[in-house]
Amino acid sequence: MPSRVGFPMNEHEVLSYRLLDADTEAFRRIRSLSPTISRRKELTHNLRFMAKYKYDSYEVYSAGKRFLPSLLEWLSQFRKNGEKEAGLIIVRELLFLSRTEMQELSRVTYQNILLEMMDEIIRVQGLNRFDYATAFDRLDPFLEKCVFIGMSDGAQIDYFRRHSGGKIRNEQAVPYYKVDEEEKQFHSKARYAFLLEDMCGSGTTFLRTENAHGRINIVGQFPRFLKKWSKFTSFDAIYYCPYLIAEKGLRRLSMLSVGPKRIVDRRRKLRFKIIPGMIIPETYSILNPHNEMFSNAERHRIMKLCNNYYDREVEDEHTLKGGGCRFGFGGIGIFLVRYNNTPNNTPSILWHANLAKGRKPLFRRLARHHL
Amino acid sequence: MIRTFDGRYGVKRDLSKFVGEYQFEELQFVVGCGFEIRTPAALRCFAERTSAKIHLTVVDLLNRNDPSYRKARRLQMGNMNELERMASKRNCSFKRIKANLYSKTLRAHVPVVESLIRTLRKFSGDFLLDISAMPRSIVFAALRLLWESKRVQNLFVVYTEDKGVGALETQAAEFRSPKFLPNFHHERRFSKFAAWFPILGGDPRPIQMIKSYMRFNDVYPVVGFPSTKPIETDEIVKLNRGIIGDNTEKLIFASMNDPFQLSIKLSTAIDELRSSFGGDIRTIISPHGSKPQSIGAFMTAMTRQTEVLYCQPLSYKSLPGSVGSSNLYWLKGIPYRD
Repeated sequence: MPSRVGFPMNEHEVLSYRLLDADTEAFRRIRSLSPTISRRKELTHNLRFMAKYKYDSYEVYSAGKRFLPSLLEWLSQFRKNGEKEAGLIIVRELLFLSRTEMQELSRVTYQNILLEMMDEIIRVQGLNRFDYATAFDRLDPFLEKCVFIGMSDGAQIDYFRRHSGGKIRNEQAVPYYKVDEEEKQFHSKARYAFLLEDMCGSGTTFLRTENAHGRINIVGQFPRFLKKWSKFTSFDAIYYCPYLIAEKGLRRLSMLSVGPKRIVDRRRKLRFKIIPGMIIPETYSILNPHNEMFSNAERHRIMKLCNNYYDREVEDEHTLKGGGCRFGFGGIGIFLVRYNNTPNNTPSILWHANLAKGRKPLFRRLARHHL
Repeated sequence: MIRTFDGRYGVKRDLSKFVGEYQFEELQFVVGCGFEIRTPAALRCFAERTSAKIHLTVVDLLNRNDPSYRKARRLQMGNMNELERMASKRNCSFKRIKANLYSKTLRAHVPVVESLIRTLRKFSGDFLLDISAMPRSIVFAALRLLWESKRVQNLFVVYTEDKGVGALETQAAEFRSPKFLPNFHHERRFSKFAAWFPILGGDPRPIQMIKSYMRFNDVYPVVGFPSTKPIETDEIVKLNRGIIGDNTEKLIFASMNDPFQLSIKLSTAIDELRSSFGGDIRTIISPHGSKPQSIGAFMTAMTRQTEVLYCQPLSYKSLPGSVGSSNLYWLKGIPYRD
């Protein structure tokens, strides 16, 4: 007769029993949750591997409860087997970006910026259209006219700078755009601003219009940036460089910032361009009928799940402006999780917690900021 | 001196935009005639948008041992006729070279290389290799010749994606046993330490075959990231669990679509290893990821003298596919320093 769990074992028991750890036990229970799920084996096949490979590294998790126990809890709240299966289908196609992957995107964004800077040198200095060799030689003096500004702490601007091959100096990188006047004054000679951001979903935080008492106001990070910095500097060009952007957001921002109906800098005094690291296709959205991650039947089941377990309390006045979070703020509809937080563009079923209503998140979201 | 990509920056462009920017005058255009409908896409772009004098060389890929060859051949001949028709309409010179993929040794590249050598004797200027349908064994051999030749002023590579699958293709049905690509095998007698850089793709079989064929001291699996299809990265990792095992910290992320970024990443890793081991180390790349990644592997092999170990497909799933975007990679010429 073995000792009870939690009590010391005798020597024989030490040799013959191996207690399951929380992850293994959670996995065993996930597999036995719904024995009637037809695709249970297929849907749970990679769970333990992926948990160890990346999902456990979600920084909002506590040491006691990481991915598999969270998944067990998340699935358990769904009443029907079909709903549990739909939950596992979401996890199968989850787009989880680890810290290493985000850093890789930062590096890729730098390479894209490098080419853009060389194109600008060629244009301004009247070099041969493809004389990148000369443009590269003239990069250092050009960089004197550039400032690299973080739009959020996720931009990891230090990492970005360190991986520029020694080209970007410490004083050319500003960790956050809301800095004091002295810092802005220091960059008064800058002609090119590169606004770095880890992720852009719908682009609403960056740029949008708001109707206040019958008047259309242009608001968001970008007009705020222009207002705060234009007193000190006069930029020839501003580049918005999100390491990751949803295709829908890219299209929307392009239309608002450079399209014929642009709402910013209508006098076209400065050039504006978006340089993304990676674009998440619109066909990854569950709202898109041409979704390429789920079959049509799966997509409908997932949408139904999002509807059935939608909690209106997830919303506040800000999220309602973006159409709510049922399918993700701004109607983005992509199941995306970053290592350090889950964006509100992800459908709320994945991240919303409401203990009073028994709503359990798989990847709890920390509200980062208001719009 | 030869002006080639040197690891600082690389020039990649959307093909349709590039042909409007660059003034092509005379161009040697080499294309593999595959069975997919994207085969003539790049030539069509040139024929419609440039006034360049084009010398077209079509590599006719024969593979009679492939069980689905009859079906593939029908599709191939449709593409061959289309390439011929475009050449005739544009008054291009047209050359057809037969490359036998079914030979037991890796010999398919020989007629292509011989033809290019003949061309280089009488022509100096711009060369473009359309690799969309070309097997990697031919691509590596042809590119090596063009990369090293002083008579090649500008060297371009074009790749047209299959819209349905992106850059990561999975048409291969069966694979040959692993072989070092000709001219990419220089075993050092005293090198006891071998590091392997398998570029993982959507089919783990060739990588498994190489793993069983040769022993390596250390393995650095390369996974495509970022990608135009971001979910691909995790799918590749899941498919290749057996290779990766617990060594996830040794994964190297390198762009799925940008060969220059892949080359920068691999070269850095190789340089760091060599710096620790004083150069006494074999580095072996297995390019089984996307085709653009293979171009990155080629540039790394050239600039870092690495070996290339590869399982050539033996037979294919002959599906016509669809036409996606075409990208141009500028490997050598004007943009780079002497």
